[in-house]
Amino acid sequence: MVFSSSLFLLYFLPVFLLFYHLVPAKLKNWVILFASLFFYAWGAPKFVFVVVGSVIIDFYIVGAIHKSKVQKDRHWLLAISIGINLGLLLYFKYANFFVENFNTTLNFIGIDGVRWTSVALPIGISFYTFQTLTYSIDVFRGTHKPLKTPIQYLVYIMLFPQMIAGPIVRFNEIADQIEDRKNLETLDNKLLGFFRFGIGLAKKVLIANVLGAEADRVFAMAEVDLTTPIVWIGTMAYTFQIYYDFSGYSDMAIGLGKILGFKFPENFNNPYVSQSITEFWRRWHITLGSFMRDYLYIPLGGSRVETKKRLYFNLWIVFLLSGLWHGAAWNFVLWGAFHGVFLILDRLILLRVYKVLGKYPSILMTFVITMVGWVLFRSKSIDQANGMIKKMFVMDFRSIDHYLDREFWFILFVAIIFAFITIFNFGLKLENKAFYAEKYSIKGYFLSTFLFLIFMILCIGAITSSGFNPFIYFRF
Amino acid sequence: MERKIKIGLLVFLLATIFIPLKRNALHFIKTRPLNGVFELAEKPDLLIKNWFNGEYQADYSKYYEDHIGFRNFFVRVNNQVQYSLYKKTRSNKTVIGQDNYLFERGYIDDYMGYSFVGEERIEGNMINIKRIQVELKKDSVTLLMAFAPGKASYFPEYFPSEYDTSKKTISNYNCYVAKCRKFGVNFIDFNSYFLFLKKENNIKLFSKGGIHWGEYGVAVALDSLSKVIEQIRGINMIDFEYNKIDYPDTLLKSDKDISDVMNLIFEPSFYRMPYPNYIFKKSLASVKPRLLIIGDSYSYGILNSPITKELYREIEFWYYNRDIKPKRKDGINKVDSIDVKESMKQFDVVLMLYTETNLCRFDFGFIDCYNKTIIN
Repeated sequence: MVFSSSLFLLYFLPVFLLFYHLVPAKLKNWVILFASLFFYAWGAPKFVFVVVGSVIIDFYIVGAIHKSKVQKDRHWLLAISIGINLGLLLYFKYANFFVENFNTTLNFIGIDGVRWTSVALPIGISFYTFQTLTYSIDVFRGTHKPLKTPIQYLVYIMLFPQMIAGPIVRFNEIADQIEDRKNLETLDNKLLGFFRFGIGLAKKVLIANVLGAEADRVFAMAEVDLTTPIVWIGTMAYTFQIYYDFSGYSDMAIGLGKILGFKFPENFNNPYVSQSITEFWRRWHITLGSFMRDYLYIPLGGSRVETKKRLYFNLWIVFLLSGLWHGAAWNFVLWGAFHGVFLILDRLILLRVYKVLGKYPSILMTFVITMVGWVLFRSKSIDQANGMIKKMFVMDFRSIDHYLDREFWFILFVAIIFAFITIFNFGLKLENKAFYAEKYSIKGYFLSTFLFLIFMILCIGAITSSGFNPFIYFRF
Repeated sequence: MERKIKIGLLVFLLATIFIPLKRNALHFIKTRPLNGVFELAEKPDLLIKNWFNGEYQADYSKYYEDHIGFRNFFVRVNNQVQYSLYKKTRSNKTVIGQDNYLFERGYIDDYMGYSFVGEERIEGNMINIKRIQVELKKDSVTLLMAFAPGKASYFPEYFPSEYDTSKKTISNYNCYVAKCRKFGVNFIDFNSYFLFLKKENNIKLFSKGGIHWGEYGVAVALDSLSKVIEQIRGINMIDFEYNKIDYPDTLLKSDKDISDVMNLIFEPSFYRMPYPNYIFKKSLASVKPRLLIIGDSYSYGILNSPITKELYREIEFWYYNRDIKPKRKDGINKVDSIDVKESMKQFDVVLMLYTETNLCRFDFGFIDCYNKTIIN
């Protein structure tokens, strides 16, 4: 079930919120758990058993880590916990990829490949794995004591607002709220939560989906039909689609969290106004970046290493793995490597160049680099990415019919405005007021309620109409 | 007070997302139904197997999507936004042209030559039609091809800007007319006649919001048709003329058939259409032929016209050479259930009427049906 579906918006969500607000505080986690299990089982009816089983086993292993006083045992138990969770990720997400590449290598040297039945990728497994890892590692490090019951742990892992697409909520950030969130369950938070959810839904349905249609069209075109302007248009469409889609989904998750009394971390902070790729990664998918920093980059030695070579190696490893985390394909690995290269270049020279260039050229340059990166990310193969990136720079201006309607231009304009508005102070003020205020004035609540209604009507209209294409009459 | 307002707003928000669900259960408050032909998903049965393979979830989601409360309202809101802001419509194959003239994409595609099926295929079809025309003539049956006027041919100046009419190439219609001439097939080209009338006078033969010919256009066509039949068969049919032409505020459904399926909240405004009143001049020598029409939806204009009822004795319609309308007394309503040649012999005139958008699929199996009958 996705948030931007009629079933979720007009059935699951109202029924869930009704029950959640009617039951006494001690039963609220049960309501969340049942709803989350149903939500997850709807999309992954078989895998839900694997998740629940592994979570319960992990709960007791991590409990043993906490109780054990013997360091060696604690290390072993941590290794088992990480092994189970990473093992599931490796098997379900990467096994097909590894076997496919292994077989390609075997075929290359003239040996028949091994037989393999493809494994279906369960939804949300990447987020599930990272959250279970933070639980094991945070408890191991003593950052937070473990949860008291497996139910609480299941609530943390399965929590439907963020399980499928993040943000990645670290255990220590939410542990106390799972046990008690009376202080956060305020009227202000609930109202702000609704508003945030509405904004996220609008970003996804009214902006990302429209731009996504154009991106799909361009990325499905044959290479011979592509010209330089067409590739840039398609890439631009995808650049904003992925931002509004992903950040919209995060907004919906954060909003739902607020309604329930959770405080999820922010996941995006106007990434396209970044003045370097280094800054981009502080603003894009923030929870992934900070996870990678704290659970991989720093354990590898981080910046406090003896040689620059080692530092660059650490950065590369982190970004290669970040790329691979996004998808089991070479283009994702390349995308990670591409960003890794620019992070190293930033440290070597680019940050100094940007300083000389000034704010706006730096933003533009970073934006263009990011766009080229998205071509790697969106392409179905390295060949396609290669062809498209070449087309971006060969100045092919042949006249090819490629009609773009008013809706595309209007939505692209809106997307650009809101993606870059925080370059200016008034944009930052507007964002702080709308997104990060602890509470609104009464007038603000009325205005946001009105906007929420408008967004809901427009979004449900768009969702419902997407499959409604009537004929005047049946024809043959 | 502030707290009460916040509670009120929260309850209001919760109630708002609940209303479509409750409306679905209680069916209160009526909304304007949606126009057009569409299918609604049926509620799936919950079985262990279809739950675990995800089929139930997919089917139920589709079912719920199609049955949410106030769906008609939500769809109309979206359509209105698309139409008013972006000049777009979600109804199938409809496009909005300059000055809000509505078209179906297929008509424009044929006009532009995008759906041209090739000279060889068209020539093959016309050779067969000529053969059938000759065979039927032996039984005193007149076979007549008719090219209904296409809105795209009539209003190319109002095409959406995405079409460049200077890039028009040969269309199926152009080729069919040429081949009719080449092989001596009886035909009436209403398309070129309408274009001639467009230049000659200002009377509206097509509406902005419809895809079919207007009532006046049908009358013009029927007048020409009867003259051609009189000439070919050497008969005298009932004459008619218009005593008055009305321009009412509201259009007939057929003159806004595309705009109706756009399912907007506010109906677009279109110019008025002419609706003539007729006087029939019968004489003892007048003959009322029996008429069989094999054709597309343009045929409905002819079938529903009071002129047809007055001028022809017996009328049958084979919709896309598939459905027989009206259903016969013996209950048969499919062309593939009858002896085609024998059935055709029961009529004096067989009119094959198609418009530009359907010519790429002509003959709709007619030649095969006819040949099979002969072999049998």
